[in-house]
Amino acid sequence: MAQIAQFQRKVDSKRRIALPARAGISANQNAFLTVADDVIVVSKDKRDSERVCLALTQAVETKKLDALKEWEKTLKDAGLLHLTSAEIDRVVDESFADKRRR
Amino acid sequence: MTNPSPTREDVKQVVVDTSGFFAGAAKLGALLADGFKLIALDLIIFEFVKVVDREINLAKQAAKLSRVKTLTRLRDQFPALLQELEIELISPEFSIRDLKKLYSLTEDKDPGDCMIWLKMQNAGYSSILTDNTKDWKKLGADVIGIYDKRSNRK
Repeated sequence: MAQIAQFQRKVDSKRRIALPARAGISANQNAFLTVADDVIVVSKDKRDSERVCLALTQAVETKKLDALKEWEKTLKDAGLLHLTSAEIDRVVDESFADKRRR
Repeated sequence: MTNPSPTREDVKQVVVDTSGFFAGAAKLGALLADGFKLIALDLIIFEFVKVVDREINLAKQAAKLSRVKTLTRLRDQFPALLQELEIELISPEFSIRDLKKLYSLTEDKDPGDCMIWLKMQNAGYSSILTDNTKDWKKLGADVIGIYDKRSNRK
């Protein structure tokens, strides 16, 4: 498995940052920047940076879908999967009425 | 892959009504796949918690322990769902001027919906995901119906 390291840099007034030495990109070499949402992957290999961004995007999508599936399952188990606005209003009203009775 | 990512202004944004977290759960996935950014308002969270808490109390009174457990799991899962789906939680301001507007709106409409609508507008949002398309259209919102076949009406 690849070793993952994190570096913090201050962006200068011209929005530039210095690359860490271990990135293996030397002066005058091309660097490819691939952007996925708020994440930027910098690499000397264009396909590598694309692959990382794609994998990242897919992993995020999968996590979202898993969270939604789990949510729907729990809603179904609780019998609330088809709760409508009218029913929600009624439950909220009854909840206030319960509180007044207490 | 060479296209630049959309800017914040390009992203389609929609407020999820309380019904969106129940009957509209399946629709949330379709909206995310269509590139929508989902928003939740404080009042919507309040309604959600109120509904689940009442169901928990009723289940406790009826000594339905398994149901209490399921509902508690649902309650505990909610913050994680918001986080995983990157649903932004906002609490827009509400002024005396808004209260006056609320009085003029609520004549034949639900005060809760009217207040959500005013707060949405204060935060710069006009689209909502809801099952109650009729009432929200009357308010003037851009409505995405939970049961619409397409997630994006435009």
